[in-house]
Amino acid sequence: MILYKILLQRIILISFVLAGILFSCNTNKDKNQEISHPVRKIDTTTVLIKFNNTLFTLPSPYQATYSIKESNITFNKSLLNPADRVLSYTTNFKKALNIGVYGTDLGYLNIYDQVPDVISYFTVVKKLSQELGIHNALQTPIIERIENNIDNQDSLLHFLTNTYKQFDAYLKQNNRKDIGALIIAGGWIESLYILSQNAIDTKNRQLINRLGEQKHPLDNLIEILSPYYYKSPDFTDLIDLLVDLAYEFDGIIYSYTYEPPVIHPDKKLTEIKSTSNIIISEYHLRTIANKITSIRNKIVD
Amino acid sequence: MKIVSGKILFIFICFLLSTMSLYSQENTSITKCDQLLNAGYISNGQEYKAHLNENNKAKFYTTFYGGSNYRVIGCTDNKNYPLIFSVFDTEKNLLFCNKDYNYTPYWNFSFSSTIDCIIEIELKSDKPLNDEVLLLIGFKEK
Repeated sequence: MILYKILLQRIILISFVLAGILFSCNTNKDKNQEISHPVRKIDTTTVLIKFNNTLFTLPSPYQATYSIKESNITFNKSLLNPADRVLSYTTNFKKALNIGVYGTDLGYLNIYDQVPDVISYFTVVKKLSQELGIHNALQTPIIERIENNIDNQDSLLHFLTNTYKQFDAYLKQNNRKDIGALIIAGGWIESLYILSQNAIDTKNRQLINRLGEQKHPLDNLIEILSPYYYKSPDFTDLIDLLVDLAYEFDGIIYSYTYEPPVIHPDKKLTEIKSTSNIIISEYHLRTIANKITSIRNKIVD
Repeated sequence: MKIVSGKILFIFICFLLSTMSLYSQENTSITKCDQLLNAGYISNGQEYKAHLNENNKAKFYTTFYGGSNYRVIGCTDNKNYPLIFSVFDTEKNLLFCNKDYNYTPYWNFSFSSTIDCIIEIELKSDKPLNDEVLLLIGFKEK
């Protein structure tokens, strides 16, 4: 009985000590609600660039349209690709690009609460997805949920982005990455077109800066498309046009200043304090906007 | 007395085990990765799945817009080695590493300026692994 008690006491003691050690590791971090992260250098000796291990991502096209709405700029329907033009897209190349274009237009319409047009643009996206054979990627509930939430701005945006994520995953799984890349390209180019037209018309500083910040996303898009450069003359033309556009972005002055981030472990949040600045001349703004318009018109016409 | 002591012992062992499990964060599988894209974060519409290189690393180049919040999620089906994800700026300053936070599969970021970043995902193992990792990025406007 005494031995049992001693054994029990020891187990309890060890439990407390172990738990104490484990907790102390954690609470040290939690106590420091706001801590600056030390600068650590990346291990460059192990860098090996291969396309499959190195992926290039693009911001959501909806974020560009958000920034237009945030700048209190009024809705401009004339910037959108008309829904009835969908009948003129006969090749998979054009269909894929324009499913991206219409997706961005849908996001723009949704952010400005243009419900009747949302319905017609969603119909167009559904039609193109059927023609491209990717409608199977969508689980039926998603379509039903979109249709049921067509007048619910937040839910619709959530379901829309999920729809495009499902397209993307489906195409990658089915070895049709080229179609997936074109959808991404179409969506991004359309968002840049809407952004640049609003930037030119309003001279809004926030929009001009957002346009100037597209250099790296554009480089990433070129990386995403480049494996298909020789796949068809259409791909070659599109990539050449994007490369030509990228040269114009080289004329933008971009500066970056590192600042230590502030970490809030309790919120699982890091506040990035580093800052960036863009200087873009009127000439570059106009040239970039004109080139984007030209590429976009080639896609939608 | 024996029954009471046995109960205390049982409670402490359960307590100890539950405490230990907090510190052995299991990787989130690729199929369950989506479930972490919640709390108002919206997908950026793409899935970034990459094979690890011979150093068990994959890299993702991305741009985060100023004025936005993001959630970065890293997943793999490999349960044997912890998944480490790190975010660097283009000058290779480390902005975040989940290794410092119990290998959490996701983390939120708030950007005041637009920053180009490199997200590196790694499975910490001495031997080459032929695994896939999935990166998801969600955004939320402030």
